[in-house]
Amino acid sequence: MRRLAALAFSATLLAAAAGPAKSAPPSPAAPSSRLDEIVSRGVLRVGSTGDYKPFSYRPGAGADFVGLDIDLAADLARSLGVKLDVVPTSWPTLMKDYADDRFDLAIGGISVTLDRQKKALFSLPYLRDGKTPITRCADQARFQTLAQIDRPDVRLIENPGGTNERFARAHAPHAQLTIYPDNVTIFDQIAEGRADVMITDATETRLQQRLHPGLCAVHPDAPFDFSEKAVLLPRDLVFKAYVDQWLHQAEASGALARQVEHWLAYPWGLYTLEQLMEQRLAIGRDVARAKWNSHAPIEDLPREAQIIGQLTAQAVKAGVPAPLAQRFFKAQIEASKTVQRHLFEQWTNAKQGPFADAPDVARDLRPKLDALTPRLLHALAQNLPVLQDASRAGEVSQALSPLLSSAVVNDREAAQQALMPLVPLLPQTAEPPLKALRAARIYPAPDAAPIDDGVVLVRGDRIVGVAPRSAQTDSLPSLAPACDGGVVTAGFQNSHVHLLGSGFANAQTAPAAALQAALTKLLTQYGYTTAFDIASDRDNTLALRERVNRGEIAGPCT
Amino acid sequence: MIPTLKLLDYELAKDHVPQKEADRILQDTVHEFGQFAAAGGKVLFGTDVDYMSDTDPTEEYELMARAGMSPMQILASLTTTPAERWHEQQRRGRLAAGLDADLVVLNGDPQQSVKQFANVKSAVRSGAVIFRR
Repeated sequence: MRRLAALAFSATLLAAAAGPAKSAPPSPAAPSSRLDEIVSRGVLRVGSTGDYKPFSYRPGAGADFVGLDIDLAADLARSLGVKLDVVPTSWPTLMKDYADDRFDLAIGGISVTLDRQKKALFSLPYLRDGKTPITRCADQARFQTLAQIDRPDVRLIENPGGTNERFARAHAPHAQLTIYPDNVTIFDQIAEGRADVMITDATETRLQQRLHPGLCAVHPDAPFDFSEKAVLLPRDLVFKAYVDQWLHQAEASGALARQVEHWLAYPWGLYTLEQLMEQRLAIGRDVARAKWNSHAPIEDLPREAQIIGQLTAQAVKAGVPAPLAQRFFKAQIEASKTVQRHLFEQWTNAKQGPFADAPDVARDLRPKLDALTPRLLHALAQNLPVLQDASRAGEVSQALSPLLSSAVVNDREAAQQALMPLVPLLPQTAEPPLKALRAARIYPAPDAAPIDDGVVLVRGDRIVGVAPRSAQTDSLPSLAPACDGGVVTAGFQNSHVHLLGSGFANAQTAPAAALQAALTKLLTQYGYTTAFDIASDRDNTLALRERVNRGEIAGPCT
Repeated sequence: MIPTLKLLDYELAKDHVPQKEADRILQDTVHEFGQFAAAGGKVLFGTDVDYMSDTDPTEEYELMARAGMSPMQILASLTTTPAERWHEQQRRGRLAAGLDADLVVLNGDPQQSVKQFANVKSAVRSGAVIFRR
């Protein structure tokens, strides 16, 4: 024991002697793994392509990523207590972006390949998959085997750079191969007869046949080959061990299977509707330039009447109730006029002259608008069941809201107008019920007489009255039995608090339960429903406030 | 004005000021604050919690009462005065139709003892229970 103590002592001396020689003292906790680096940075950088439903999808350049793998990445970030930052990448540049250290990991339906494994590591696989065809349902029998596909009269279509293209080139060299750069509209090419068949992952064929009723996945249960989806990781075994353990737990708990099902059943078709609406509004910007040059008025009532008049037959054909189709297109026209009016205001203020490259409304733009009409009706018809299902209101608003911040439209007010007719399709939630909080005594205000044996009547988040108890109030349900029988006042405000303690650290990502406990200890157990935070970390307090206001955490407003 | 009287007591104890001396300083401060309140000064309640590790506001309420504030004046410092100061009297600060359902349920009557302000049975914000004992 004495020897040990002596050793420890001399070690300290040595360290002290070595100290001044260097400019910075050696840090005992120098990051030894990417894992420590991520935690100390507070951000997990996740690369994702955003073009691969149901794994990773981004509705527009400025929009948020959504999908199964984005959910998984968010879970992983949460488990580390750090913020998620999704870095856009693409299939052709994935490995280069990896080599350039643009992200800590990449996720988004990435297949495990030995080629990729030569440069990077993969996590445990989280999904089994394999390449299988997708084609028009009528042609299913023609494309059952690779031998049937590998013929000069077959028009094969693939996205560039990924495993699909590689598989097609290796196994169907005799087919006419089109490399089509847009994963989002590539399936329309087959549906519209410009290509015959695509070979892609079975998961994707399952999803796309839900989105395109004319397309069918060909034997997705028995794909041509075997492949697995996994997280692309840097060569850091400590970090990989953490990701593997997290994945293992997600799999064993059933959470992963639930997420897979959720994202396969997700109403992806809403994004198609959203994008068509965006295209239509974007044409409004061109219309504005044309009318600016020709000094034509923004409003063209005969043309509007013509569009609406022709709608009924088209709507019935597409399976959309005619009154809904009319409401919807009137809103799109109004929204387009809003876009044009706002642009005219800007140009008037900027003394904008005529545009050199303005298109012609009748020659260039009306055909485009007319071509969009049946596609919009088709998308509307496809999404009607989802739009009318109140239990999916969250998904509907998630999928349609990118229109509000669309950079192409760049007009929030117009986007709101365009979306308006879709909102009433959701059954309106009924008015919340009237509830009573029963009190031995109520102090309505410091300067008002107290009420003994009274009730505070509450509907939703509002007080609707304060009254003495009566037979009528006795018949009302209780706001919460735990609240009855006390002395009631308005919620207290603590005008000088700090939310500095470790209980509030990383308010954006910390588990709700931990923040909840900290708030209870500090504030809510003493009745503070409002607190004014002074001189703490502002962003942290704002993150906390946002989570309280979202209802994730019960707490005061700060 | 946000008195944070308990904080003074807390700081005096932290700096090992002799008890007698500390009592005198606190008494002077309470007295001075009482004159401010009696003269009609606007008082906002605040405790500086999470700077002080002790979160219990009971002592603060007692010190405010010792300075001469009535229970209803203390209630005002917790409700109507801050609502006015933040220009939110149309939304909160009292129990009346149309205002936010932000409520506190106490186990006892603060008119009997100001300690009851800290004896909270439950708290409701926007119609939802955020705390219950």
